[in-house]
Amino acid sequence: MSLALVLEIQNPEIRNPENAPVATVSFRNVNKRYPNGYHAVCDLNLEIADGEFVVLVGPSGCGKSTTLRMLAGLEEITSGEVLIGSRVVNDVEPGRRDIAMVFQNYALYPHMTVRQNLAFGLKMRRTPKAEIARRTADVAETLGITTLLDRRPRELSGGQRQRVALGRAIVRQPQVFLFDEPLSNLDAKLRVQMRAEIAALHQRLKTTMIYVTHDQVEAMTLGQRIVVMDLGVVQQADAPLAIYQNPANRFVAGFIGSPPMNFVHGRLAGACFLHPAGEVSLTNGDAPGGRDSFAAQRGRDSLATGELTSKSEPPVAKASRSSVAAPPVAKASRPLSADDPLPSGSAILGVRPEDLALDAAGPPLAQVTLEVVEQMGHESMGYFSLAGQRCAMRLPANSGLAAGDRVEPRLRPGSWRLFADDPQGRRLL
Amino acid sequence: MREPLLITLLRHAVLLLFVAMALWPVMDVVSISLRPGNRLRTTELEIIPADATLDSYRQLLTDPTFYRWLFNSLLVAGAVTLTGVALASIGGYAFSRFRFVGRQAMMISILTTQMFPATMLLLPLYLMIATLGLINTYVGLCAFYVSTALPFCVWQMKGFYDTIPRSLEEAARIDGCSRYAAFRRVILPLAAPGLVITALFSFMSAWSEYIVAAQILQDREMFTLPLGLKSFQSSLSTQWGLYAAASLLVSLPVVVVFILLSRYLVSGLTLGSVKE
Repeated sequence: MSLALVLEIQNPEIRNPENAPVATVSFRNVNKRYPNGYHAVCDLNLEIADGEFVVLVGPSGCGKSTTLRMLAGLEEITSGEVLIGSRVVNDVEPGRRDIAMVFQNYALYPHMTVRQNLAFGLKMRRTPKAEIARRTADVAETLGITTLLDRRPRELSGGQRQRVALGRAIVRQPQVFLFDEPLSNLDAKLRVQMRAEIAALHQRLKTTMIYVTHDQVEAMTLGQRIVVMDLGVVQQADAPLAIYQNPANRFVAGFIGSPPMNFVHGRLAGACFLHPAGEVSLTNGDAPGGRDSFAAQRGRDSLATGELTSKSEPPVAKASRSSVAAPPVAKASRPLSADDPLPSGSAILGVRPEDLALDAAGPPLAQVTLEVVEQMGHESMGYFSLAGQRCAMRLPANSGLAAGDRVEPRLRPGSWRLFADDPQGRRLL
Repeated sequence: MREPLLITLLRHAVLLLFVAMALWPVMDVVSISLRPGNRLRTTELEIIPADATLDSYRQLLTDPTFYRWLFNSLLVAGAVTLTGVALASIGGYAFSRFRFVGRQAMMISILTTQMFPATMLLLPLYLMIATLGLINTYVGLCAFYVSTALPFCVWQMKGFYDTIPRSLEEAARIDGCSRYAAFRRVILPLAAPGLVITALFSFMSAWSEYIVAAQILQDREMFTLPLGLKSFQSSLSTQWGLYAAASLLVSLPVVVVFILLSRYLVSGLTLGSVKE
């Protein structure tokens, strides 16, 4: 089943026109506490617009699945309110919430044929038989599973099963689709294919969809909005690119992006960032606004324009000497001074692998030794240790570099982030 | 790697020994039932004696009392099976799916009852049944059987439900089922192999039980087959031919039920529904 085919078959019956309600979803001060005292979801507030595709993402145990299950009615809500449309659904049976859910393990009814699986939800709602037959056939055709209708789930491959599970959700024409890690059990190739189909499905149905995953690639590619969760708390909710470029804290920065953002532990002393491999002077570059620009940028969704200048470096190895000299500390701009409200003390410098390059225009980070070079065809990834932290940098595919080579990665101007060195890891700049 | 010949021979010898041990008594009973008259002991080794006769069977099958006992046994075993399966399927589900106060304690106490042999429970249960005025009634007998078989059945069903993924009933509930409808339409059909095992266990325990039946049933008319069998053993002479023939006829229904239900005993009914 190709993506083109999914897009091609425009089936107006799939979405019920006379019953096109506004399916917003709201979580208001929602808490989930398990009997054993575990606080799975803490004071969740989230508004999801009608037709929006929202991805809840986070590591296992972050509360994303619990959040989805509370919305589905499979998990009781300890406190707060969950609304679908304008209706509070806290005490509404799952079957009466007008939602459909796709499970990680497919959860197809093994004793029923594919046809019966698709029809089960409609049958339970006492839909007329002719209508059930028509809608089942339509959905089967849309998903390319018509030939499988009389088989049982155990006779299907993983991809076919997931497609049936998807069909079982679509045929119901629900107000809200819920996906609980639907692609985790598929192999890599199939996952990419199904991901595209789900995206196409949303394009066509324009129904509200909420998708839970621990895979940040799925989150980035599918979501119109990503909600990053950790320890039961929403860390950040924003458009994928906004989250990528302006992570709210160190957790988000480290979770979104692959390989993850590099973190260098160091100390802020006035305008200097000191890390064990060197001393870095932070300047606010040519940023307009002079001395206040650092403070003004903090917490804003704009790119920082500061740059790093490495001082007191050891001599640079010939092989890796960059032709682009590190720009000197700009005289026109004033380095950060002690009276700027940046806290001095320990801090963490964050920079993404693609913002480190041998030929970047910014200043060098440090002299490092490559430990591993991963060739990926269109590019390669070099790994090195800096101050005890594993870091990654992107290298051109034909760099000819190998493990053991000394290199001097440089920063792209304005690409670095600064985080507080505390458990919250909040963004400083 | 091929096994050495000696090991193969030894293995088969041991297996044959146990097969012989299992089959010998059965063959012996077959042989006795075919002998004319009342010959229990014989020096002959043939399974079918030279003067084999079906007289014992003929006599038994023309006796209306035998049919009466057969009916009684079917009635009691059937009632115990139905009650046992109905209660165990619901009780096991509760233990498997719900977390309620006292769940652990109840499960352990249920298990504990299985540590005592049923004969130990005979006196207290007899007293209870006597107080209820159920002596010499089928209700009393069935209550006794169900209460002794149920703990095992509940555990058995709980274990079976535990293997059925919760996401199946969650999917059913989202598809519009109530909790009960999800149980009946999705979980129960998948639990069929477990139900069959439970049914077999209940049926067999009630069908072949003697000691309890001997205490509760007093009327010869109400006897179940094991009791009737024993009544062939009189104080003066035992009709061994009749006794053997009846034993074989009594064990036949169990064998038939077992064969009929064996196709449900295959595991893997849930194969392919979910991916773990």
